[in-house]
Amino acid sequence: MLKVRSLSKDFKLHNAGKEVCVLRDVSFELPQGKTLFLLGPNGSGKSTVLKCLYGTYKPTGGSALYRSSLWGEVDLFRLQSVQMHQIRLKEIGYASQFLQVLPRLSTLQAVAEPLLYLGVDKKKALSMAEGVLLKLGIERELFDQYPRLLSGGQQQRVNIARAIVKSPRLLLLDEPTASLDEHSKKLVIETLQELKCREMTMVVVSHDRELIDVLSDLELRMGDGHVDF
Amino acid sequence: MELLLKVESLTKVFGRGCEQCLSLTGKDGNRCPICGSIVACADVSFELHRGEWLGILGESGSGKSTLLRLLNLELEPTKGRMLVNLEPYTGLDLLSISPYSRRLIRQELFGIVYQNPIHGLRMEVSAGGNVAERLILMGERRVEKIRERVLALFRRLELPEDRMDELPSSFSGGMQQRLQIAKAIVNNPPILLLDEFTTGLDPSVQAGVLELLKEIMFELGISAIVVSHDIGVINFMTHRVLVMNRGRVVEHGLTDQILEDPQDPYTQTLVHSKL
Repeated sequence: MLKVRSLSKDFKLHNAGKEVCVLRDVSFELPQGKTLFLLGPNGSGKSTVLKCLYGTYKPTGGSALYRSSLWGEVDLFRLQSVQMHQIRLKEIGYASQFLQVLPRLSTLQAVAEPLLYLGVDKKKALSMAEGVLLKLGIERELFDQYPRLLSGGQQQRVNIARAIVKSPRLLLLDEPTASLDEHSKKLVIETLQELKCREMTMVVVSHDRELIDVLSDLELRMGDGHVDF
Repeated sequence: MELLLKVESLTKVFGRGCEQCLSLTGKDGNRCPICGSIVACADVSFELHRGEWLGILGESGSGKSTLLRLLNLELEPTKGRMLVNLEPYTGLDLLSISPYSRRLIRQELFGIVYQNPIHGLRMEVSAGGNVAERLILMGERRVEKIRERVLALFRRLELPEDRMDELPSSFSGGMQQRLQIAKAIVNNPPILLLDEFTTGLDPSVQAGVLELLKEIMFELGISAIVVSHDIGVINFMTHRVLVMNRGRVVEHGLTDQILEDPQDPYTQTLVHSKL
């Protein structure tokens, strides 16, 4: 499903006149339906791997061969932005550590949005969003609130809901349980387990041992921008 | 994604121009040292797809508004092509046809919302008349149909129906922008052109206009070209971005990639200057 070869990422900072190397020679393979955990200390480049896969960061080198339903095998690092946009809409879900939505969009609308981009009827999209939010323990009373007014843990679950509502083939999650209480964490873990049973392929950055124990098929330990063996 | 519009080497030089205008401008400025002409847009190429919202980001004077005026066929380009991929005009270069045909096709293909409502609305014509006018230009003559459509848009854009006969000059800034949007979409054009449309609006009005536009985007499946120097607007409203500096596209890519991992020195300065 996903073969990453020799991924490297440098940030060239023109004003400061320097280059910062964040990733060196990261490689892994992930079969369909399996979950890979990226482990390692802060600053080891785990989130950068996710952002490179999602196209938010431009990798400096390497390839990411992904078997898409749209066009068969493609190299995510070499797709034109139009194609990457399309593949994201249909096949890749990404929940970063921070929720970013239009300031006055309601929580329910924010979660329905990825479906509207796919042309799903508004009523159906809202009902699907409702289902996912309830599953993640976001109460109905919060549906019409602005996501920015929600607590950190609630925002995190809204972010996960936005990523999974369209049932992507590839799900990228950055610290999905970092600010959750025990009950919310349990709901997130159950939801992700269900997705795993439905053959969703996942790459997860996490330090949460409980989450790792339940979901992990493969683990990649990173240290200082490269894979530690 | 279905291609709607393909723009190739769109260039606009203000002044008499010379053979070296393009090669001698861009690095230090956009005034040609030989003939003194201003190169406002140089070799701009891009594609727009159905349902896609494309941002054009740049500082004042970067050429982004000139580009939008070229796309709206208001300005005569120095060179370039604009190929349409829509029936019945598939393959037609909009810049190769007569000015009269261009005006007609422009009404059909594009709706535009300007930063200053004075440019988009006729202030001496009633608010309802401003919206209706565009339908009439498109050949609609049935008064009842026109009235129905204008009324529906007033409701959709949360404009007061009872003020339909008033002049737009009596409307607030936010209402004038919503009236411009109503006028721009009244005949369901496939492409919306938005020129700094939130500049000058206070934050809550701005948020309201953005929300409304996003809803319309989903309802109509419309594509848009959004010109803005406001990184927030670009971030929330567009899928891809072209960054312009001195009349050139210096970088293009997915919106989040441009904002989080800009490659060009100019884009880095621009993005990192955001408060």
